[in-house]
Amino acid sequence: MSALPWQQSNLSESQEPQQNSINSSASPLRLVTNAVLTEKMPYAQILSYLVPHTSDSGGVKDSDLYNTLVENTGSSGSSNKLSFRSDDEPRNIISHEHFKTKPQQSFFTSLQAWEGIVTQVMDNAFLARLIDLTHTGVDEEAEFPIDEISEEDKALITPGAIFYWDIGYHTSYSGQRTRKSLIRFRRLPAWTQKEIEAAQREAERIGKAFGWQ
Amino acid sequence: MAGNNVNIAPERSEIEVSLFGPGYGESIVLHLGENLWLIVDSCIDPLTGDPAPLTYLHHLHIDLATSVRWVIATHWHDDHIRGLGRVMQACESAEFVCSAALQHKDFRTLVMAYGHYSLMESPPVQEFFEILQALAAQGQHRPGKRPRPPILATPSRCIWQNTLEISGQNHPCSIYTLSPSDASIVLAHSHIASLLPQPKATKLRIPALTPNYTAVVLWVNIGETFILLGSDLEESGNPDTGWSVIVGSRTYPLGKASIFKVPHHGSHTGHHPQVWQDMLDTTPIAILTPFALGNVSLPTEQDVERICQQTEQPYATAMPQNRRRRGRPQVVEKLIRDTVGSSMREVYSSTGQIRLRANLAEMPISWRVELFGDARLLRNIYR
Repeated sequence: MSALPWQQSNLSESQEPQQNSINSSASPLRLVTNAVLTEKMPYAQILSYLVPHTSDSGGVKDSDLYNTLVENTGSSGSSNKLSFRSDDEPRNIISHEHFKTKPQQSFFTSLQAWEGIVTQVMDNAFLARLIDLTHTGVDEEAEFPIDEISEEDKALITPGAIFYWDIGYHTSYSGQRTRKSLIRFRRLPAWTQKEIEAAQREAERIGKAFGWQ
Repeated sequence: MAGNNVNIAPERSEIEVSLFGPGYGESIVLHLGENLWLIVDSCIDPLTGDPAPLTYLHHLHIDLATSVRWVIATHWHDDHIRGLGRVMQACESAEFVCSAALQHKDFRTLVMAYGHYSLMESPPVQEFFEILQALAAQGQHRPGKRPRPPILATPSRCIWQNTLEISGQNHPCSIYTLSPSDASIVLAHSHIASLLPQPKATKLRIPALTPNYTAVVLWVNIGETFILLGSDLEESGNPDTGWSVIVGSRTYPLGKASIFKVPHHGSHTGHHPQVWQDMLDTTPIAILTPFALGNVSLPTEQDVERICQQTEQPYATAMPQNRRRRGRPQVVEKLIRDTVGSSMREVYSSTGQIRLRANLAEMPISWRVELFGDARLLRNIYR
């Protein structure tokens, strides 16, 4: 049988198991910690269950730990040493929800989107040509106050810069829905010497083909 | 006038000049007679999304592959070049004509850099990239598989000369490029060099070349009929650039044009009084496309007044200020207003075609003016 995640010892000395540091009678984690301590689970691994987002210690993902734990706490005739559950105890000592549930994330539902190209920059505003990404149609243009742009994007406002403008609903962690207009400037990589040299070679090749060189 | 059937092809003995715009810019289709066609610049038909000249010629049942002999890019501004790559691909036997300023290696480097590596679409260079691809594809059918190089427009360069026999009469015909001047080419080279990508510089969409040094002006004569297509050539007062060079030169066939495509959307920056005095009939038909960007609308009311003083027959393809605000759901509308106020407008909402035809079999020739879409007399564009 291959080693279980917590049997793979890749901890530093400072992370050596410290059995005594956890009070086994502390409720409601009593069952978990009892089992863990019984098997001399590394302290860092214990923390990975108890503290969100620390599960990478030991190189194991949440989902792997979860699957392994559920398998080992199931009712099948597993010979695993973690079968500490008695029939009187609840089946899922380590609840599914503990591992499955992720924090509710905020999200954005777009109703209308454009790609914009800055055509002219004035003192407090810039003019942009807008290509409708939601419906086809003639290009549009609009004048955007520079104050509408986030501080980190302001430096990117220059003729030829490309941005995306989204209008839609923002739903927060708590489920609250608000209307939003979002403008994000596209960050393109810089030109590389290699790209420029390749373009020069192509230009030379075309010139030769036309008999210009 | 308006209401005529736009899809009737001209007779072989008819000259046609059709101006489209400003659906993403302007384009001219020219029939020299005897099914010889010329396309100058390209814009997008808002209904089909295809290049307007291709849509039009398709409706006339013209064989693009054999009948279109020249495709000319007068300059590489966004409003004159959209769809030109597709035009070149469709017109398989056409020769490509562009400004001599674009022969420079720096320009090709620019095209390859932005066409290949920019990670974004930069329409003008993208179109040139496609044109180069079309020329390479054409080259596959030529000896040595060498692509046919573009014809480079320079002052007073004859790009074609022949005699057309129309209705039993011989008509000497020629097409001349009148610009860009030598000095303009040098200026354009230095400007193009300044746009070349530099290592570690952030990638941006390429800006337009302004002011316009490289625009190609065309002088077409069919028999005794002359046509002056002014592109977007501007006049800066510098005797070595712009219209000053053209009016000071008489190295192209002398004559007075009866048709004038007014340069630079009727703007005063494209106006040179000597053009009207020396190169045009007393009452030429003047045609133009409007232009709108931000708060700039061309031609202005002053421009309209000036042009109307020069001729009794000025026409525009559309109305520059007729720019709609597109309707959207209320919640979207409210947030648009909160963000950009009432500044949001379509780039253009009005588009049309001016078609001029004259039959060479009828002497003296007289031009028939047909207006389609929003095209109208110039004096009416602000009414």
